[in-house]
Amino acid sequence: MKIQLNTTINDLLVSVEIEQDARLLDVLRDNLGLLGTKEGCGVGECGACTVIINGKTANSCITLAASMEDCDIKTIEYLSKDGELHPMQESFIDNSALQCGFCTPGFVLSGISLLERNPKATTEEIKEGLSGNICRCTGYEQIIKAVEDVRDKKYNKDGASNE
Amino acid sequence: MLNYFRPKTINECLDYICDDRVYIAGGTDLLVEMKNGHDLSKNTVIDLTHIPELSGVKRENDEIEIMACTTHDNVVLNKDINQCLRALSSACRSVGSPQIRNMGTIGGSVGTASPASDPMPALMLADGRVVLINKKGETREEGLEDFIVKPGVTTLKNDEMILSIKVKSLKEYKQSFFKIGRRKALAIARLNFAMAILKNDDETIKDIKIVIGAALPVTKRFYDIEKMLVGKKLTEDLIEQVSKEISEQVLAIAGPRKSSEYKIPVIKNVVNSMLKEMEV
Repeated sequence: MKIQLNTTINDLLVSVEIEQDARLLDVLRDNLGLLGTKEGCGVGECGACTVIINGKTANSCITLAASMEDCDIKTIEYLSKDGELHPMQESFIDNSALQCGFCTPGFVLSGISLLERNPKATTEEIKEGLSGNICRCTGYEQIIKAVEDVRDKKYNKDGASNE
Repeated sequence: MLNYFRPKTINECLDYICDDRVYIAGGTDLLVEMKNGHDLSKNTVIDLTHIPELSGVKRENDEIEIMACTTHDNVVLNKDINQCLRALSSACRSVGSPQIRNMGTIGGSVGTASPASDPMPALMLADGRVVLINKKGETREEGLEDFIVKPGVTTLKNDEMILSIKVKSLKEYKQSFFKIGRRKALAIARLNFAMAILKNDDETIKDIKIVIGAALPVTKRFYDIEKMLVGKKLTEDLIEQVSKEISEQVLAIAGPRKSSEYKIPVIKNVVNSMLKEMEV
């Protein structure tokens, strides 16, 4: 059966007709065309589908879309403003913290989220904050370095490198 | 789904309770089951995510009440639990991943009755009791050891839902939680342990609590051993004797399995080192 979902996605009020049992991931991709959120494992283990719900990261592949009524959802598409990338995105590029790129949206959102919570996160704390995301290409070193560089404020707020 | 309801209050929620009801809180188990083909077409799904009164932690003297839909992350962040029940803070910090901790709830963890639950040993350590409310609005309390019958099975009746979990403050106790999984994050516990100890001025044990999960079908408190230890000093010999006894009891209850060869000596060694650590 279909129901109407009213919620906020990337600062826009959205009203969309969804199946009662739809996953948030499918609503984002199929109903709203937000293709930056990826499906990896589909069971909440790989983090490719990570989004931010009411300020906290969540796996959209195991989130019931119907539960999202009146929520504040942010996806990877939220980050770049007027063609300017977010510092975390710039840092991922500069550090070659991606190869195939499939896991990247999830890692970027987890990286931003962990630094918002703990701006002085140690390397260990960064690893812990990224532990819900899996990358099968890079071996993680560059990803951790990318988050460390943002922590160390190597980027100004417009995303350009200070170096 | 036959029906889907998203109540805003507990009272409204009780109206929707029916025989074919399925609750969704964090969804971290239910959505995985749905993906694996679990058919909900004849079920009424009651969504608990929009009931503010079902979330939060209340402290009254020595009792802490954790509302059912409190997420693992909010347990980790809670000051009262950090102060009075550090073993539960560590247990909730070791659940899944940051994302799963932001989604999964303490009530969901108890309700699914997984033998590998991480919060469960810490909840049992603190004499955890589950508070249930039925369709008529009547509440009842049950100790977690009685509530969990076997893996995936509890005494929750069709007309009931979990309201909260009540635990006792262990503020004066030295506490410890330890988990063994196949990898650091997102690992289901192979073994988990929770302990708390309170000593008299003369270093003898005033009270001790020992819980082991994941090794057994149901998380277990070792009451007989706890009782035997009261009034004694934790000498190296006694620690050795206790860890041997516990590992033998686990083997006796769980029966020999392929993994016993690994698990039994590990249980013995972990109990041994946790007791030693708490002795320091």
